[in-house]
Amino acid sequence: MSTPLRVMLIDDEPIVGKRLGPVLEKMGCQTETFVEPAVALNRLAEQEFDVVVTDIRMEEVDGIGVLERVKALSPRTKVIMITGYATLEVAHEALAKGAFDFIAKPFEPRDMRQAVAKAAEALGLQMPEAAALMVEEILLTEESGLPE
Amino acid sequence: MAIVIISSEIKNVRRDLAQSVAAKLGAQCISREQLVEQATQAGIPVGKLEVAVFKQSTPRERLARLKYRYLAFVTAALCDLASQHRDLVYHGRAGNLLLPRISHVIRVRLLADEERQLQQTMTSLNLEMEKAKDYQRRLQEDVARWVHFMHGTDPNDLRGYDLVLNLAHLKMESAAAAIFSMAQLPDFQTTPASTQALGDLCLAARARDLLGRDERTGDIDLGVSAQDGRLTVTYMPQQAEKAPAIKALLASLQGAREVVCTMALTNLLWVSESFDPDSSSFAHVTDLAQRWGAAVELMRLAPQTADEEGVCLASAEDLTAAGPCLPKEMDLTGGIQDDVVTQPAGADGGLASTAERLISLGLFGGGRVLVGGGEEVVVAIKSAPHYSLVVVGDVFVSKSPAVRTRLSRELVAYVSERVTLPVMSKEDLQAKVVFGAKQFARLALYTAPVAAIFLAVFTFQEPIQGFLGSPGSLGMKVLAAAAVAGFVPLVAYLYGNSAGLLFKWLRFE
Repeated sequence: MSTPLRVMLIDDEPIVGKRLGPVLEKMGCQTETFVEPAVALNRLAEQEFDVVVTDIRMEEVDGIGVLERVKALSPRTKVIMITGYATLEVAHEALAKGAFDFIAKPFEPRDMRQAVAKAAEALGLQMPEAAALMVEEILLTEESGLPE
Repeated sequence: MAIVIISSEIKNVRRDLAQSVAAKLGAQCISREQLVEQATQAGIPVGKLEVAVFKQSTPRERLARLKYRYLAFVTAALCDLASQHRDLVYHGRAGNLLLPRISHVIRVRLLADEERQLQQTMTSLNLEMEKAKDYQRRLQEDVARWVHFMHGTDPNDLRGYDLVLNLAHLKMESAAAAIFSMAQLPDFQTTPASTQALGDLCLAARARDLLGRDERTGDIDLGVSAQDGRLTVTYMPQQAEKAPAIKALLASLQGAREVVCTMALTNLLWVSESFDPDSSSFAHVTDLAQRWGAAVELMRLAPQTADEEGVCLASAEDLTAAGPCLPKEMDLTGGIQDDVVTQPAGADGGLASTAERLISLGLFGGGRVLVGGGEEVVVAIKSAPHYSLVVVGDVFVSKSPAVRTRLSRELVAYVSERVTLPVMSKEDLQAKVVFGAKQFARLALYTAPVAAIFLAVFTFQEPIQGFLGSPGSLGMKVLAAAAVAGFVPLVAYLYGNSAGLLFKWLRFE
């Protein structure tokens, strides 16, 4: 059995953790959710995560700050940025600073699943549950009647 | 009243210049970033439009609607500010394209000193030189893509500007002074015509914004225009049930002298296995639709496999569902929506991209996928009796050219025999709408003998009357009758073709 993907989820809106947490758990991820970026950064100093999903616009420390800190602590960790206020400038700044992916809100859970699965693949980790979900999605799409 | 729009991708440089110009003019200063923030708070997911240029995750027809909502919001917001303040300075990416055809708007293109800009990027973003260069290059490329996606033009097309300032050769104060001086020129003062044009632009933008915000009308494609304070909103026949909501909403709109709500006169049904918005068929169909005031409904005829019956897979509503994306919804979900099953990119035979282009032209009348052949097409047409023409495009594309041509003709014939409206192939449509060199040659060929005959008849009236009316022998009378019998149909044929081609050239139907 493969080691579960360790995912840290940071968003100062609790609803995001409540909705995304189960999505990631269902993929087979071991998820820790934080609403305070400062607390999350302390946790990062104790524990390495494979993937960090972080909102950009937050009160104490913004997502770009989290990204810089994560990359300083653990360069291999993949950081996925999410924001309801995406701009090309912010997206390119995040990508230039080493973000793995950038997702604009509102988004569907599938977008996050795909991003996390890609991150796992880039890390050389296997996610059988994620693969099963992807197959399920493909089957659902085909069942919806799409011609081949 | 001066409206100055400063366009640049470099936020800090344009902000500094805009603030300097606003101080000189005593004007209100507003940035694109402020309007984007307001739009996002109003429930328009502007970030989706931004990210779409480097990451295609939102269906294209949904993006097309978002784009028009965003542009209407920004235009309406600028109009509100312009009406509240005597002078206005706006700065942002591609700002020059926001208030088109308003003569008293000064459009400035600002070019930053590249070397200084690189240093600033390195400092402000804490990036090494190579990464900073890469950041700038990628950002510029994506901004160009964004401008093309949003406005269909190149941000570096200098025809869209009144003034270009290069800060590599000019100090900020000098640049501000140049813009201030330009604002004093008579060419950029308001005139009754430019005030009216701005008023119409604002009225249409406010109406579109108002309709886009409402749940009842936020997800439908509407044509909105204003002329001399008269607002016209055109909706598609299948959206007729939304008409009362449109009227009710616009009743509260200030500034409209009159509000006219009209339904698109008719629908053209375009049946095809694959669609291409860059094809000549698309141009011909939309040309005809614009001339007729019609909407274009797309029907993708997907090939039938052995185990499939003629079933409708996706309704027009499925394809058009965009959702008004209200802020309330975002609050409740934190921006995490529920999964929706969508088609993988490229699997729709160009349906989505064609729908997007039709939306941008205000001609989209819906779209659906139909599996089957002629029988299913006939059933679909009979179930929606608002069509006035059916155009059969590229069908049976997997077959060889000869077989494809035969089967297409058979499909046109099969449908024509079973419905009461005209059905034509794309080739027939081309012959109907295109007027090129060949048609000009034909017009000349038919018109020249007609003109010669008219000239001869009116020049030689006496001999002709003598020939036709002289009391001669029986043989002469028979000859005259035979001449008339042969001559009149010939003239009618030549004249009919000449007049038909002339009307077609003049686009008169």
